Amino acid sequence: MPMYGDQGNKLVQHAKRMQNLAHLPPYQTELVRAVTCEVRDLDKDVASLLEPFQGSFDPSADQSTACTLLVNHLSMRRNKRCLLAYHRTRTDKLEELVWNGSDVLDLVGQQAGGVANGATATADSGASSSLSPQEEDYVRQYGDLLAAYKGQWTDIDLTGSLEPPRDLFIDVRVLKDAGEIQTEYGAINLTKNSQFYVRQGDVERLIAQGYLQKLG
Amino acid sequence: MMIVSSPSKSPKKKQNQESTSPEKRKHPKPPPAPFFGARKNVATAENPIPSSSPAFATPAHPLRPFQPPAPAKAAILPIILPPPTLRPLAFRTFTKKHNLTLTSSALQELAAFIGRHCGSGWREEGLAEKVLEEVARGWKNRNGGVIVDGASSELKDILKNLEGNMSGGRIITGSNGQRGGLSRQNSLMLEASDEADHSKTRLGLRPTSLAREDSQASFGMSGIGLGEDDEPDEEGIKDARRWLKVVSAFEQPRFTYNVAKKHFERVTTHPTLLPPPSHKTDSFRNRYHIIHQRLLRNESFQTSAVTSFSRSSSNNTSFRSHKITPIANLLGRHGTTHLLLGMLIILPTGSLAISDLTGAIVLDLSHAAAIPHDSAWFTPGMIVLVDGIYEEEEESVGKGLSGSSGVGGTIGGRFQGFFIGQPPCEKRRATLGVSGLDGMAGDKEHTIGGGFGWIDFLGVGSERAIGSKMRKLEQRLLRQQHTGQQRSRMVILGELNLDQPRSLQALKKVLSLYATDREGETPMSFIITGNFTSCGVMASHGGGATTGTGGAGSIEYKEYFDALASTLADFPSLLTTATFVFVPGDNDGWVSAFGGGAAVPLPRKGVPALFTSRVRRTFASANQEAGLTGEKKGGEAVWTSNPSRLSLFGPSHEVVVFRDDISARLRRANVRLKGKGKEAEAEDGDVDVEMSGGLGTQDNVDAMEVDGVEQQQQQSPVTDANAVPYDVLTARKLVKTILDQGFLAPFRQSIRPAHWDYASPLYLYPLPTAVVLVDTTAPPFCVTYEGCHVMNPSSILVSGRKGVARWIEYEAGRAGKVRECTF
Repeated sequence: MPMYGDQGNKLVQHAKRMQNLAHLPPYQTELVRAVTCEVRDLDKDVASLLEPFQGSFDPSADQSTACTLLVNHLSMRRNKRCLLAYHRTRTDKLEELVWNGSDVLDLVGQQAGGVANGATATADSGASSSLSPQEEDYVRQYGDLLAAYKGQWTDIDLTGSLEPPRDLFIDVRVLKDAGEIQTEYGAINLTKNSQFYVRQGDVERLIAQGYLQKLG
Repeated sequence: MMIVSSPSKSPKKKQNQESTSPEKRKHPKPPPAPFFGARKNVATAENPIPSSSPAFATPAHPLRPFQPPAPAKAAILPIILPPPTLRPLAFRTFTKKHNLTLTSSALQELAAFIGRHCGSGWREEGLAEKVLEEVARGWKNRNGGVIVDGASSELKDILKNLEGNMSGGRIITGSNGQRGGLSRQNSLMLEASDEADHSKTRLGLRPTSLAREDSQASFGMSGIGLGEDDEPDEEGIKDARRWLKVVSAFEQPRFTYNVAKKHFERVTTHPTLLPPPSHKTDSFRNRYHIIHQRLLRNESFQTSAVTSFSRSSSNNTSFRSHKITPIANLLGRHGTTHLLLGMLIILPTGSLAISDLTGAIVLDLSHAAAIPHDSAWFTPGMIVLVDGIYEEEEESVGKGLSGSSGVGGTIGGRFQGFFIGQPPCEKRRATLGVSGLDGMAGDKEHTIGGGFGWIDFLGVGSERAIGSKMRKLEQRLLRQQHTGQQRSRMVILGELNLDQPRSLQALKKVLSLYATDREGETPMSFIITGNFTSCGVMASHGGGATTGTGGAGSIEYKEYFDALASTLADFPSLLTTATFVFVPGDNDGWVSAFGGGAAVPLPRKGVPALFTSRVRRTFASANQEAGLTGEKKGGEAVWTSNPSRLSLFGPSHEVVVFRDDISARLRRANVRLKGKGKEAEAEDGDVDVEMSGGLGTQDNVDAMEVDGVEQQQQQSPVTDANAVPYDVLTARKLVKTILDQGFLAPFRQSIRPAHWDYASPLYLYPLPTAVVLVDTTAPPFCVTYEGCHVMNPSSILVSGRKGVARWIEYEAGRAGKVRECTF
């Protein structure tokens, strides 16, 4: 027989598991829904228990009711904490993703031109991250905030790598066709399998996004 | 109060120098003297709160926001901005700040745009930075990808939208005409209403609340002159019709619901008319998933395992949660009550069955009652909810055909249905998740939204990305005018049979009524739907048996449209100011050549250009005579698909136009239920209460407001005021059926086929804001159901009454009304 807080416990287990994963597993919509529903039902039970007392409930007079109320109340609080913990873990993860510069589209899988036919989508959904619609909203707004923050110090790349570069210029190989693109000091034409010797600052983004590969 | 002097003298001078080259000069008047603007600015510079927040106290250019924005914005002198000059700034904004990569073509587009709209002050006044910022954000919101491509339609759309929101080189962000004159204000992307407050408190900057009219008035005479010069330039932008977009079913983005991620995904495979068979199952599965996820979000389907037993103590009858049982799980549970969600199908053996993803079971509806009583149609091919009892039978094999029994096929036994209902539909706001933003916190119904606001269902931008911006624009363009006729009207004419001369007379009469409207107040769009002939064209072998002459051949068909063109040519004032949308029916070419007027696969393409060239030419010549030669200036004729969608102001208005005799088909294919619903209620009263509460449909029907009621009652011979006229009941029944199904062709594939790969334009999910459902077999109506306004103009020629034309006038965002006239 299920007990109070069982669902919440599952959520916490999910959160714990998520901490050690490189990607973000799908959002547990059903579990979250079940937990909130449980809280709502417990609240209704409490309300219906207290109804006959008309606001003048004396715990010492009716101890069994008092105990039920206490258990219900504690279960509700526990469920709430479980929900908060689960969401906190996820938002932390999301913020980390945003700071690492991963694009929201890669996370959501809606990119025009990407591969998403039935078979491959289900195959890679295990390995890649997946966001709920609400989380997507969060990522976008957080990204906006981060962009606004970065916009004040455009000379420094706040989300850049913390490792000092060995060289100002690096060799890169193009992995995906992207046409002629603009960098700070000029245009380069990215055709697949060609190699360039370019400023590292110019192409850091493209390497992170998987268009270029650093050589050597 | 701080007096701000005018530091903008130097850019002003520069502007004067630039403007001396004659070909770049747009406005011959010199810009107003700077002190006019400066004085004005002194008057409004009221609240210079110094920066308080430490995080934002050290901006890169701290003084810029305090520059008086007044003088430069009255007249922008376009310049030619070479892309390399813009590159450093663009690189900073796009790549450094937003992680996007610019292509050369995109940079070129941006440079041209900024040169044209920001003028010489692009750098000094920080105009370009804001524009770039907006474009970058717009690109991200539209899911453009990391490479910004200049040739893509998204970038063009973004720039177009921006153009409408720009005035004097600045982007208008506030709803009350407030200028986003602060360089950091936009980048925080706060909600519009809070924006002013937040910018004050957070950034420590004063709001620049200069309205455009004010600043111009302060210029005195020269300002007025400038204002007049501006008029023709902005005429195109001010017309709401520029934001009307007709989306054909074949160019609409296709989406599929991913159950694992609980999110819509864009289908990127190339669609084809002859797809592999797996796409057929996919299309059904997708329909099931969409309805299923919608149901699970409904309050009455949320169960919690824990308290289902403690509920008995509190015994709350008003609310009880339901649980949907997968059909395969029925096995071995003889005599138990279950609620099934599945598609009504007909087995190869001829019996009715219900099928979901796990299996199918024979359904006995002979004792079933519809919930609520007689409120909807039920035909095979619909996804419905059935409540009843499972009866296991001994012989499990032999019922279905060989190989199709057991889990995944037809399982043995019989499901005795007691109640059958449509899955309740979901409001557009709830699906898109905008309910939370409108201060709907008190609304308990919408505790869980779909949150699909970021998905661009129509290819015009998603609700969350541009919805609020578009609503502001709409406010600015449409809601200002209070007197006279609204420009945002759409005139809907149904079933214009061109082979009947009287319909052209009727059309002429209707158009002449609108042609007399004042300039700028004529309707924005005319939606004219087929069938354009009364018999299937180019199908003379079979189609014309009744008329004796056969359906029209291609030559006659062309002549009909030529006659239409000559009728339209009499109304140049409408042709030059409105978008005419033509939606074909089943009788129109080319598909009619093999369909012969029968139900053809949906979506179907528009009438071929071969036949409609004369109409196009009429529009072109009318535009030419009026001197409207530029792009998007004059009126146009759009021959679009059936169904198709009209989007006005991006996602804020979505009108589905669909021409189909759907009522007749529903009546033909309807499943027979138990005769009287009343008896069933009396027998199992308690169960019934649960069900109606659970399905949540009872109140929906009551809440359905029927606009055509008064008119209908005047016409109908029924004098009893309490009785709802039969026509209204039919309309409600039809509307509830279609919207609850969320699909325009809820029939078996043999009755109303749908192209498997193109099924997604047939979905009514999220619910559109309005549906034009042209159905000549139903009475004309305007009904609102769950926030979706459904209109049926029926046929333009009122049957049984000679010389009467009937049509619907719909004003975007409000109710449509059925109108009649004699000719």
